[in-house]
Amino acid sequence: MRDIFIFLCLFGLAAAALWRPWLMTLTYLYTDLIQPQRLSYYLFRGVPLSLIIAIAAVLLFVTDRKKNLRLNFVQVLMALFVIWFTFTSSRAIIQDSQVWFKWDSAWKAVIFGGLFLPMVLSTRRRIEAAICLTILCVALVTTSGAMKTLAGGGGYKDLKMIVDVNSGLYESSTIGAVGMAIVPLVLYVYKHCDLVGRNIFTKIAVVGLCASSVLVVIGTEARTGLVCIVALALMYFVRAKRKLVFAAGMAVALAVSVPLLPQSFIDRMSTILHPNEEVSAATRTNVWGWALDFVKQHPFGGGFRVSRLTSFDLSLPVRGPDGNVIRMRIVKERARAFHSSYVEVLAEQGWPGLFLYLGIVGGTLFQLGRMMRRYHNGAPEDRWRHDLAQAMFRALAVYAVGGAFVGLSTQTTLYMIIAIGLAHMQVDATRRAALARPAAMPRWRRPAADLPSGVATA
Amino acid sequence: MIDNLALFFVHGALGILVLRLIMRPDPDDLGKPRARPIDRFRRRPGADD
Repeated sequence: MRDIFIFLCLFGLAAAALWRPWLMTLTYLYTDLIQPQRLSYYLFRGVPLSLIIAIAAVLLFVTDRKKNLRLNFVQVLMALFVIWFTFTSSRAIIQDSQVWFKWDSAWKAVIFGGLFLPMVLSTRRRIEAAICLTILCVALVTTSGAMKTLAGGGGYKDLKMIVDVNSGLYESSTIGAVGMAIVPLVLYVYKHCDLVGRNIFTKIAVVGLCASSVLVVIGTEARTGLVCIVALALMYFVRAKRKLVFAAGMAVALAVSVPLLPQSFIDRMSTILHPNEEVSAATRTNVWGWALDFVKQHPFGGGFRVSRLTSFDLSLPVRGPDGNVIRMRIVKERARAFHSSYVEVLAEQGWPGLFLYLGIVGGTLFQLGRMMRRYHNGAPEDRWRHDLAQAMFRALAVYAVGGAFVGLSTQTTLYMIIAIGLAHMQVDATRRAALARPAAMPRWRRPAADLPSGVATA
Repeated sequence: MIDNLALFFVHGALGILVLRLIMRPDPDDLGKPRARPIDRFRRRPGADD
């Protein structure tokens, strides 16, 4: 039954490309994020769905008259990043199928999610449709996790969301970070997107989506999620007009929610303050130290999945009932993941890879910040440009903060967020170019509706 | 049960989104002449043979 349902949804989404050919690109992103093969019991097992849809999307893109071929320097960095990690994969220290398995998912995420998507998203409607799709794909996992948490089914490594796998959006720390990253996008869509109605149902949906992003952090007990909640709250606080009211509201919300939180969640979050007394947290700090030592000997990195070489002993205190340390216990750790996007890229791709990665994330954040300043006091009809840039900035910043504690460097969601931000800037750059030199712009590329809006072209 | 409920809600919303994308024209297209592939092959008035 589930197979038929998913098949009908996927077929419907792909069929919509008959009317709107660019929807095939969004169908590809849907299959990449949701992975219907994992949701299905029989029907899609072994079917190369992503490949089929990707070919169709590229073919339809070629015929698209509104494709935006303007290149941002971040897209150039992405292309260089792909070339670089292909090079490091070819000379990886451990040469086996796992290296090329990760390379396969990484280049698709960067090329399709990051490089190709901004060329397809050439209008506001397309950008907002991509945002809605991202929100819904993430919401599939967060709503499932949130409902199970409310039903008492949460717990570290116990909460299974939709499918029992530990990769992509279905990994607990990843969904904790991505779930918080979509909150600014949800609020933007409710405020500005004309595809979404303003009524009681959408209001409930918006509150539900934001609440489910928080609940899934509680349910998975992912510390990364808590860090992302704090980062997001700080960003809203910094830009709040009434900071005292905002701070008082946060304090009241905290005071009300803490007694309702499960004790296991509070115990796990308290380990953030004492990282050397808990295995998972101590492993992170040790594996980061290992990576820094490793990159001193291998400045060009060790290639994908080099984390399998990690090896160290943890020394953890064992405390008695009175809280005093009784003895130290030794835990041997082997082949542990890096648990940080930045450390992961540094160890796997070396310093050049890290600089490229930081250039991609930092360059996008910088440009979004510049766009926010440009439209900060703009005309009312340009308010959405500021708010979208701000929402994308916040989403990417939360993702970047979360990425410090979980490996998100090759996740499609990261490059989708970057791509949507870039698309927004590209559409704006095309419009401003048309304002500055209308005669030089081909007729079909001139924006029709908003040409006379009179925005500063600086 | 909960997973199926989430699947139903999210894909229902996705269906509504896709229908709206099909039914509503892109505002950026409004005011522009509808481009047809045949136009590329038509002789322009006044063009030399």
